[in-house]
Amino acid sequence: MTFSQAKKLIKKIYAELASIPAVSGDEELCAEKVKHTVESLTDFFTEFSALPAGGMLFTHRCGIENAKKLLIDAHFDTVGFAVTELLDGGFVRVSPVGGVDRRLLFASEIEIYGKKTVKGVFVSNPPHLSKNSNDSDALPQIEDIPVDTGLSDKALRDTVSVGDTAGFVFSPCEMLNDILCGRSMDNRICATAAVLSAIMLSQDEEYRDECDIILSLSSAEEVNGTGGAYLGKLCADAAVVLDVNFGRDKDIPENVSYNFGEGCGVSYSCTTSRAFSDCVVNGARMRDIPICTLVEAKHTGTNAHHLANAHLATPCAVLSIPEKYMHQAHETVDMKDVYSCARTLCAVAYDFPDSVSELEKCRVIKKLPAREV
Amino acid sequence: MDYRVLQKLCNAPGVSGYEAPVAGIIADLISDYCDGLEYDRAGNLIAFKRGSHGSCGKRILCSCHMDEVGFVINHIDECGRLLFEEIGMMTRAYVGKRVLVGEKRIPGIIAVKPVHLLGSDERGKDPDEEKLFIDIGAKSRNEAEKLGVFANYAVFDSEYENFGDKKIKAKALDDRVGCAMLISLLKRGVKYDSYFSFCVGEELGLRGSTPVCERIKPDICINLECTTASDIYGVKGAKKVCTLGDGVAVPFMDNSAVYAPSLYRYVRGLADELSIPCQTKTAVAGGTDAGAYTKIAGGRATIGLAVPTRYIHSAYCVAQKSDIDACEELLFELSDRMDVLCSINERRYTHDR
Repeated sequence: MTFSQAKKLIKKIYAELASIPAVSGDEELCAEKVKHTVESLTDFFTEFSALPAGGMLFTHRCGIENAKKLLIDAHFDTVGFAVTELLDGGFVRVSPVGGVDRRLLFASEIEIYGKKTVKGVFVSNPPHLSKNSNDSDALPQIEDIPVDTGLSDKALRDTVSVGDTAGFVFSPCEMLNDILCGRSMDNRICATAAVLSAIMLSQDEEYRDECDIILSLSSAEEVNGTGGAYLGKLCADAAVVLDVNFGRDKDIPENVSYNFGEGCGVSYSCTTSRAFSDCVVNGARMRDIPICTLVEAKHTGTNAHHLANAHLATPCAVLSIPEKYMHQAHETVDMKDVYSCARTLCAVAYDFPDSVSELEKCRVIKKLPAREV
Repeated sequence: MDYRVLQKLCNAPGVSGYEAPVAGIIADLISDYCDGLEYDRAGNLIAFKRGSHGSCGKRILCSCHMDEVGFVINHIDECGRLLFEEIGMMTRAYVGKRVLVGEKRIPGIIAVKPVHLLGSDERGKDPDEEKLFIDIGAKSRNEAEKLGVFANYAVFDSEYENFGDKKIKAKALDDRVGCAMLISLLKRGVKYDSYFSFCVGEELGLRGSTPVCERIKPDICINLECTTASDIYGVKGAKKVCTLGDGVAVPFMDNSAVYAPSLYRYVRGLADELSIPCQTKTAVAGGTDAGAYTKIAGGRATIGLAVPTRYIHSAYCVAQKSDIDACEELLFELSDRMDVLCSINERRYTHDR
């Protein structure tokens, strides 16, 4: 698949996936819609299950008995807000869900997912009424910046309830040089790459199809990582955890970021499997897929941190797409990096049965008693 | 205690996430002495040893961790300087120290500018860790990259040696002392079937012990550790936490775990009965793999045995040989009495029900 073919698909898949709200905590409510969306995009996955914690699993069976299991995880939840109080005059109070930068909220538009979706605007005093507009100490907490819905008290109470979630408004656009802009790139763009790779594999006549592939669109990464920890129970032979990472920019240090357009990245960490990460990097480089490497020594800030040592442990590699303006209303990625990510996932699937057997080869020195473990 | 084994283990590199070199040494040392030996999916080394009396009907786990504090190289700048992230240390413990980078053991210095050039706002403060780097003498990014240092580890360049009055000084005493004791126990043999785990990632937040506990589901766990001794000049009373030369430290609680109270009392009583020097920790501080063992898979009854260690998580940890010997002796005695420990533990549950 050429980049220009992939680009059309990336825009389509992202638009479908990012239009679904799924603020952390609401994943379960969106599961049915996500299922239909993924099924409409590819027939690669033949099984679907919704997890108790709100995550969703799409499984591709290769048909081989006791086949190796490759888990690809892209958390589906996104940062946003939760309504905590209905105020007089059509205002609501919200709390952040996940890490939201309160400096950017004044006069920002959001949508509240009540009985129907309601637009709202964070209040902002005009500059001539602000006493201390440049005083960062005076920056209020998000809970103290009411959201104006413009509704009457009655209409507000009929439509919005405490506990409803809210998110940034979906208004994607394409910018110069293949840059795609929109909400919830973290992490719908990785889900996009995963679905794109499934489409690529299903169209690839040379694909050997010798492993089961489970795509996890997991929950709660932005709040506590429980969705990732739950995946340990799947006992996958290895997992590629997809997430966004920092695109290099002014004021972003070089050691925590990488450039747009130079490919997706693999994060080496003390908490993930270096051997499996090497397999991912080597598989990409062998096929001339652009890929970067960076180090996140103690914590990758992804589901891999929770999955890697959950249950009986899962060897994880973190594959990421560089992104700018993370957790803001308008995040950007380079579609060339999304393409690189999807191609790398295909390479992992190609190499998987052999690469994972290689990982297992050295584990047993003398077998532990089977009945005891 | 075979101090040659401890020396070999302390001098080996094994930063959290990079435990393979020390794990390989341990596997070589114990493979002839155990009846099962596997790495699990997280890299923990798990051994099984049949007891001379068979099984006592319960699963017994003796555990320590292999990893040590250190550094991970996360960037090379255009001048060949290595930027790094520390694992498990405070800045003041490592600035200006010598390190060895990666498998090639490339010597480097954690560079900091001379005192003469400090600005008034920098004096009297720890250096800003974000400005620190490792100087290996490379003149360019290309030169450093060719050495394979990116995404690699660095450890302190300090050798194990005897120190002062019957003490030892080394990097990584925490927890190669525990590893050495479990190796001794495996070589000596056990009365009852036992598992032994040499865990990864303790210094990153008790990561390796979690899957070990899920897999073995021990009924009783003995966790071997080093623990902070603050018995230095000017510190008095309980603030010392524990004291070098006063014997093995048996904690009743730390920041990660509450140790099974009835087992704690039994262990202290046994040490007294056998005249093995023994103390407890006089502060609820620190955390160990016991934190995972007491929580995972429903929580397992856990005992901690620790060697008091000064300057823990630094290039020069100091411990007293007599404390190590006391700890090892108590471990052996407990290992021979696991049936008693299991029956005490069983009574706890009966009583609770």
